[in-house]
Amino acid sequence: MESITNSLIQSWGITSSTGAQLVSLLVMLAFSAVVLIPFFLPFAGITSWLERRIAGRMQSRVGPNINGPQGFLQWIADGVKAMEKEDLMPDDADKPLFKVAPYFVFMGVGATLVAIPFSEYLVLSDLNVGIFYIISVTSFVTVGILLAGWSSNNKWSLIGGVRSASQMISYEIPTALSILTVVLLTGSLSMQDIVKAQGFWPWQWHISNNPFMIVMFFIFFISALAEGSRTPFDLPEAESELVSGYNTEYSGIRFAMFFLAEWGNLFVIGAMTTVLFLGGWQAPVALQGSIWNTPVQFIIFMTKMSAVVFIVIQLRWTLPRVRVDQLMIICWHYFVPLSLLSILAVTIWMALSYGHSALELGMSIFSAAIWLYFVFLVLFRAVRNFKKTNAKLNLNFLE
Amino acid sequence: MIVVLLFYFLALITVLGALVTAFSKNIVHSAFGLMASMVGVAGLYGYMSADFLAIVQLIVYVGGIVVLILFAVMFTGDIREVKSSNKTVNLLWATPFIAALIGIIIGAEGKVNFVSKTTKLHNTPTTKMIGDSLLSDYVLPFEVVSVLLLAVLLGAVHVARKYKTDER
Amino acid sequence: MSETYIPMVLMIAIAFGLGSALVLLSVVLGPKYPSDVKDYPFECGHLIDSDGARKKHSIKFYMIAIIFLLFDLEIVFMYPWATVFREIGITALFEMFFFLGILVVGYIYVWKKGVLEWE
Repeated sequence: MESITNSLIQSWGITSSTGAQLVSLLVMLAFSAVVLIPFFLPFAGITSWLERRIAGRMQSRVGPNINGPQGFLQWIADGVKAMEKEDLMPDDADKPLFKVAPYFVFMGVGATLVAIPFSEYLVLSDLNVGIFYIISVTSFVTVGILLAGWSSNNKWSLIGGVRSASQMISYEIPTALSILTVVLLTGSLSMQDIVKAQGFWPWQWHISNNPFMIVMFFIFFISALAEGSRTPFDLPEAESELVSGYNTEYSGIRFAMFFLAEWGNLFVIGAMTTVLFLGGWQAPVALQGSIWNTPVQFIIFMTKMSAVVFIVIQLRWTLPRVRVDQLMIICWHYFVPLSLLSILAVTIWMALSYGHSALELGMSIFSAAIWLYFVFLVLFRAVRNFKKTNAKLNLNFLE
Repeated sequence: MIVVLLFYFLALITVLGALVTAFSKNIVHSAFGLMASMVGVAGLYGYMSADFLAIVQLIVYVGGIVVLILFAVMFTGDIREVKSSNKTVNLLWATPFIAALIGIIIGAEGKVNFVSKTTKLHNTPTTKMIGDSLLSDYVLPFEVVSVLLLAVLLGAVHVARKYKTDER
Repeated sequence: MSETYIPMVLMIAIAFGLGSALVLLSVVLGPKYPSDVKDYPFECGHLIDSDGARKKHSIKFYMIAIIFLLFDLEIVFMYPWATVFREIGITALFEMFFFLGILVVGYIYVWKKGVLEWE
């Protein structure tokens, strides 16, 4: 970033400090706009299309397949349709808050993108407090949802908003505690430092530092699902109980903004899981210094991230929804004590193994073997069950 | 120049938020104004390179306190009635008092010589420094904080239980 | 002023601008035919009573918010500790044992009192 700015300043012959600041501001503005508009919006849109296609596939139906090849352009059609709809507002709604609430949700998700490292150099801003920053801007989403629910003057909206907010704040505790173990291992809050502390091979990732990190990974993943209100934790939108939750009264583009934020949040969940536990953008060491380094890192990051997003989507169409009491009990009775215990175990392990690099490596390989075994088991059973059905394997996913 | 403009922008958010909090007759709007004010303060901390503090301000005040206040406010009946929201009272007495206070502050500002005693903290991670001093120089306050939090926890539970038995 | 924060401010500004642009487009493109029925809150055909939806609710949610706040503060203190744990080592471990030990007492109390249950 800085080198681009400096070269621009030199080539334009700008000497005054105000001019230089202006140029750097413009460069950053352009870069932020590139990340947000042509990357984030299509990502959210394409994910929405993909999700409906996968859902169709999993439930033996078609899903969107008319607009564009395989329905690929469905998300653009949806966006245009949302814009052409009337922007309704209920009679007794609190007008300013009703209008401003979607912006909060949208901005809360958009702001997280600043700190996400796509590769060694492709990051908008490597904040010193990176991971903590991402936790903190999520609070805007909570406040936005709460305001949306209250301002609609609708019982379902209010209950949905309140449920959503209490769910998000409850699960912030296990999320933050599981991130804490990663911070313990890294000694830094910066996202780039967290990635740099890991390596390309699975046993160099944070998830396989010791067996307790696998526990922490699961707690983080499940809590992140709950914070992003994804199934099995989509209580705020529980259609069967609450019509549509906090966004019942919204229509047109404001409704679409909530959903853009939701699918954008999916990206954030995937990216955070990748960065914190799955090695981030780490490419093979052999590539260092070559011109392919940055593209390969970007591709590795996006692949891992997409894999996580795919699992999240698949979970949505596999699992039933939990009840609100179960939700709170899972968080406060199981996750909080379990993550406190795991923190304890991780710190003790760190204190014991300090300076014994062979011991650390052995433990890493051991715990990598554990989670790889589970991954293998899932795949093995999936293949076996598939063979039992005697169905033909059809890999044409988009059919 | 731009950075100075940013300061005034953040200060504006803080002050406007505070004004909304104080003058709005709808208490949810007040809570909303409070949030704007908190975000402005967080921005000011960030402006002064206190990055950890800025984030803590966001997490604790926006994510915690404001949500708590919104919960409390939203669950109270008839909240949009002015009589249970914050009424503007004693405007006559308050105005000269506030004017005097502002006069004193402005008068004092010209007389006091503000010297920055800190060294420049340009883009240094403050989290580590805070951690270091919490665990070495300020261990006792650090541990006392946990006792304080425990007291708050017990108090909160106690208050809630009392209301519950009243209901039954 | 740390320069790393400028992109953050910009990103929030762009997200806001993007949202506004979308809403503006929708105002230009979308129809505007208000009617009584459309402006009525959607509650599955129930007629809402005169005082609207904003009524008293369970204190449960409020309790969760308070407990969240306390744990949040605890986490705020744990993060600086986590960043220096490697350098300070075993001393830091005992200091955090003590800190957490006191809070775990509170946690057990809250649990036993049944605040974390959800009837």
